Amino acid sequence: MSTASSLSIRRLVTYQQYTAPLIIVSETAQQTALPFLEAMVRESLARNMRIVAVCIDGLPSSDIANSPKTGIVDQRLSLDSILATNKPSSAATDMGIGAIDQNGFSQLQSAIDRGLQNIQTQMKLKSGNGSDDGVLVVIDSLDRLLRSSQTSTLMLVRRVRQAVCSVPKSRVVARFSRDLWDSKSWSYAANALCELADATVDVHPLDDLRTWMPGWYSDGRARPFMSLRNNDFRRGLARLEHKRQSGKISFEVSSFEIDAHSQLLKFSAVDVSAEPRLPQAQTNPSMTQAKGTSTEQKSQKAQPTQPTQTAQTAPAQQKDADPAADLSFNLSLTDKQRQDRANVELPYLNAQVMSAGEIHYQMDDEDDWDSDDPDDDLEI
Amino acid sequence: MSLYKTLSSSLNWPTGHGHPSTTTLLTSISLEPTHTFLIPHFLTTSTSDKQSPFLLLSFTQTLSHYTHILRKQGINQTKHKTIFINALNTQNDLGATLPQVTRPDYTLRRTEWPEFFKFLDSFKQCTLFIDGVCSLLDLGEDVEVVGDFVVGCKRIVEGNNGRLIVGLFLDEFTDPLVSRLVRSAHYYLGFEPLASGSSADVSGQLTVVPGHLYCQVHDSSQEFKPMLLHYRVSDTTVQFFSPGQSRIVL
Repeated sequence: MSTASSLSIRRLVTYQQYTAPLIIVSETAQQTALPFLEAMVRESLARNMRIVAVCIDGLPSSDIANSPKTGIVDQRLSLDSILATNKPSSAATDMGIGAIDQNGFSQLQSAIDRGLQNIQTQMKLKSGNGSDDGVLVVIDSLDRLLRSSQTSTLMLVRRVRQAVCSVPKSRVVARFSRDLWDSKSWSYAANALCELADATVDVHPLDDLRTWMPGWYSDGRARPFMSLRNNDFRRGLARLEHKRQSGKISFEVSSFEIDAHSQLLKFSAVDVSAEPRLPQAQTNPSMTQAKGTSTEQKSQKAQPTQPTQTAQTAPAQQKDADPAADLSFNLSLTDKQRQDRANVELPYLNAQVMSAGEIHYQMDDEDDWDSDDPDDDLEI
Repeated sequence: MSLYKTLSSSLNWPTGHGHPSTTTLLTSISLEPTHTFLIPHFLTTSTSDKQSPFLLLSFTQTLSHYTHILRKQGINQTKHKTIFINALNTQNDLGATLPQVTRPDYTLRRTEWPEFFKFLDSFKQCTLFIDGVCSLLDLGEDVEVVGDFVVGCKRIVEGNNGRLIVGLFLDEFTDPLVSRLVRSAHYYLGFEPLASGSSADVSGQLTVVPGHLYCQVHDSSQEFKPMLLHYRVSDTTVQFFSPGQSRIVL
């Protein structure tokens, strides 16, 4: 099991790895990814990076928004658009108050490009030769963009990624909901988004961990929409899918906790393939120790989901040696019984021992014995 | 002054409700909208300073229904600055036919949402309670449209330092809408039947968890605590208690 310091997600978040220009952080209604996203932003601010916050659904927390290194691109639903909306009710044509048209996507792209250019200019003025601090572009979130136009959203994300790749040590992080709609087109857009991303972090509630462990099964009852440990704003599970430049895709599951004071992320390794602890079984000393041990290990590894079966294999080996050991009635013989048994003379035993195995057959009257060899006419 | 002091103290709400400029989402699973008995609580809490109005926007019931609930709880509606917005019946001559006591202060029609937003923007530091917004889905509206309507109300109310409370029914048809709204909420209160089965002494259970936006509410002195509470609805009041701590059960 990997330690916390060797976790890929930790190396990504703390910028020990720069091989993921685009990171998609996905969430569900049961566990928000907003605290995780904001903790990543705070990590970047702590490393003296510049932030371009593209606010589509909401503004970031006040400490991030008020930071001098943060540039806000406010694309939220404006009050003017809310007060001016007057669309008739039509389920087929009404895209809602918050829909973004092609012009809106162009303006959003231009606003992001301007934000990046401003920051690059500031960095060059500050250091003269270009700063090594880098830029983090945060898009919160992609849901309204995907609702308006999935194609335009994918194109926007691709262009922003390309723009960020030209700035060293820079990255794009976008938040996205993976459970909002059940339609095929949404899942297509979600898959396309994950294909674009260099790393995908799926945030889950801590309660989901037990469902990933081997041996867990559902009791058949429907899970409530929201349980007590959902939407924990300090803890959760993170499933990382990291696509490296070599083509290798690695998966990792870890738990994270946001420190109450520093508001930064701490990760802990989680082993979802861990086998449940089994009781120590007694082996038969008459069996070969090495072979028996390896057999037990193989039986444990082969059946990780059946701890009761594994626990039963060791006692089963004892039963092979003495099948009458655990019976409720006594099958054993006393010494006198054993001696009397040995003194019983079995019938026909002497005849079996004395004879050489010949067969003595007495012919009946109807039998017609032919002594010739039936194979005499064969010309072999 | 909050009506349900046990609920306020359990959730660490000294003022009886959440922080200003926040959104609370209430859901009910049972056929009876059990979240409506929180209306008197939010009404008395928000109008305690006699400056902040309480706006009740209902898509499912008339004013007389809520007046009856308030009367049962011993609350005199005339002593609180309450504004009822009718979205159930949109007939033009509604105001003329009803008596003054049950006449709504505003009627919301589907084609007049901009006028309603302007009407809402005229109130400062108000508390807006939207009851039964899921009825719009039954009328054929899309989830995005209904969600944007609530988000529009949220932007206006929170921009004026007010509070938004949305109550709706939760089932497999309204699940997408609830999933959308919980992302815009700071608090989530889910009313469910008792998990262990029906009981004459306990009416149901209440699961209180943070919404998606709670992480942006920074107040260590008033930290919200996720909690599971049981409640019992009697004729004139509602009692909240920790599981197994009811006097009736003990």
